[in-house]
Amino acid sequence: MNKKDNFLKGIFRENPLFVALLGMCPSLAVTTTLENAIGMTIAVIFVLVLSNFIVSLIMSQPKLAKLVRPVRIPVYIVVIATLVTLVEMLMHAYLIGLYKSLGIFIPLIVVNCIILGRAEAFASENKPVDSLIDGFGMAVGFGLAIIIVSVFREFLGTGLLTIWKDLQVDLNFIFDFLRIQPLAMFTQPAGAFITLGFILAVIAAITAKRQAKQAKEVKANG
Amino acid sequence: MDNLIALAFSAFIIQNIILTQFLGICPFIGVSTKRSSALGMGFAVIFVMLISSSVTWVLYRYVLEYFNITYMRTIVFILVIAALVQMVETFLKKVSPSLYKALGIYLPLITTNCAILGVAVLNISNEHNFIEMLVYTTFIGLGFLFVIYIFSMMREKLDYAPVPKAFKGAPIALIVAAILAIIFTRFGGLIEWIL
Amino acid sequence: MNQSKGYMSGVVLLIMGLICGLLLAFVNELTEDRIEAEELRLKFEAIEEFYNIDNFNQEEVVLDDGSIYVLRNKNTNEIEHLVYSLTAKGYNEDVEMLVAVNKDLSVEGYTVTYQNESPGIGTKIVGYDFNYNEANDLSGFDGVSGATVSSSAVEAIFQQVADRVENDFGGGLDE
Repeated sequence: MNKKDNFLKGIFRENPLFVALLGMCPSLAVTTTLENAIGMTIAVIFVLVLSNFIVSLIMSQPKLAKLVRPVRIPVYIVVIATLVTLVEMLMHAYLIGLYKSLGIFIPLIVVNCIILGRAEAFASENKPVDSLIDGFGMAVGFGLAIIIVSVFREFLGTGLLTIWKDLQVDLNFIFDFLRIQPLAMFTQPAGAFITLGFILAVIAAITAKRQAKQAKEVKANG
Repeated sequence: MDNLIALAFSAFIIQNIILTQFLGICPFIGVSTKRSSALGMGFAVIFVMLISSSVTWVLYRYVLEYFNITYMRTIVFILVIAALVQMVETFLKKVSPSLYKALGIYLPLITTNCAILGVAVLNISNEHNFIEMLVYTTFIGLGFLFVIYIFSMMREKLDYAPVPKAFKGAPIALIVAAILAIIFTRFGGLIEWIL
Repeated sequence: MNQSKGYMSGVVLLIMGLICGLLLAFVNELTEDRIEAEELRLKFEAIEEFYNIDNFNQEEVVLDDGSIYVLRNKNTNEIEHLVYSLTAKGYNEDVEMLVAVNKDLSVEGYTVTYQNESPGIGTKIVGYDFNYNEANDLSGFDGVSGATVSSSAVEAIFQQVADRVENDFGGGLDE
């Protein structure tokens, strides 16, 4: 698999949230505003890229890999937890607003199945550079997914899009034009479930249509 | 005592672990297709949660704080949880094979369950004392069991409902979860009004 | 043979743990002070909406269930304003209040901050309960009426402030 495909598969074909349904907890929780989703994306990119890279480095030394294999899950956990704690400390020191908004979901990145999953499924069997790209692709895919969810939730719920602290886009004029109020439900748990549910349904519909088309083409050519 | 009742009530319904705090969604969607598996997962979670929250709480207060290394919290907590789950699994296998058959398969899934680590961290960040920690954890666990069981009953019925093809599986589950979430928050308000 | 392999793996895990622990200790050293400074800045930011805090000497007095932010005159060091940050427990929310009181015991303003339904995420809603018009002068305080948020909790906080405010301005805080 060439490097471009390696990267892109994390975004489309194997998108961790929309296809593999991993990492749903943070997807529902931090998507109340676009800013939170962007912040979470940055944190996940940092952790996933580095953890894939480090795990791959460790597992590509044959002697070291042999020693590590019986305890590999705890080793992955230690690596990931360390990276997550680093992110936590740096955020607390330099991005304290984001730190308070994301709350416990920063340490919960440790148990985000995506990261441990990629370490076990890909990084332990592939070269460091490939693992790095895979991690980056998966993290970007996850990030795009939660950004999409948060755009829907924040816009429908408040009519605003908060990109970064004071940088806001006020789209309330659309609601004014339609003579309705923003639907506050979308900022609450119920809205999170509904948004994700509908997005997944749309994706399922698109995938089904595409598969039907492909089957038709195979039949026509076959 | 009043305080503890409010805490229990809050942990069970108003700050419900799944429908309000969004922890434990993966097993909620994944394991809730049948009532028996929901029940199994629910009890396994309560069990692991109580043990792991107690152990991590004690570790945090008497070791991490004492040596001033609270930044090791995440690493220590998750390693403790992973080790505990492993020990519980081995223990169950030896002591009660029947119980192991019922609950055992869910145990490895629980390690990466954000609810377990989440509750352990929440007990610390909400600054609970030991009793409050026990009450909070128990009722969070019961809340989890309650919701996942109700949900599994609904999903069993959903299997026979004419769901549009695109919605089958996770999407319709999430929408039903949304309705449950609304019911829970409003129900909580009703209880509060009565009290 | 298998046993020694197990031990070696365990040792590797332990060494990794130690390396990571040292790395974190190092970063902790670097960021500790900054974190403390940022937390303090966040607290005083909330007070900015009542007074321009740069015109005063700032001080924080920590209480059992909150704190008092003291703003002293830059020249005389006399207490000009006090902002009480207190919390009361409700059924499904912790009601936090900031009550800003001037030297003459008039209430400059107040905010009611309570958690929204997802506490783990840390977003708070700030509300202004303008039914508390009766709380304008705390020298003769005897209760407030009409609120939309956990009225008993809010009233308890106002009462707490009223009970101690005269003493605090009069030097009770200097002890």
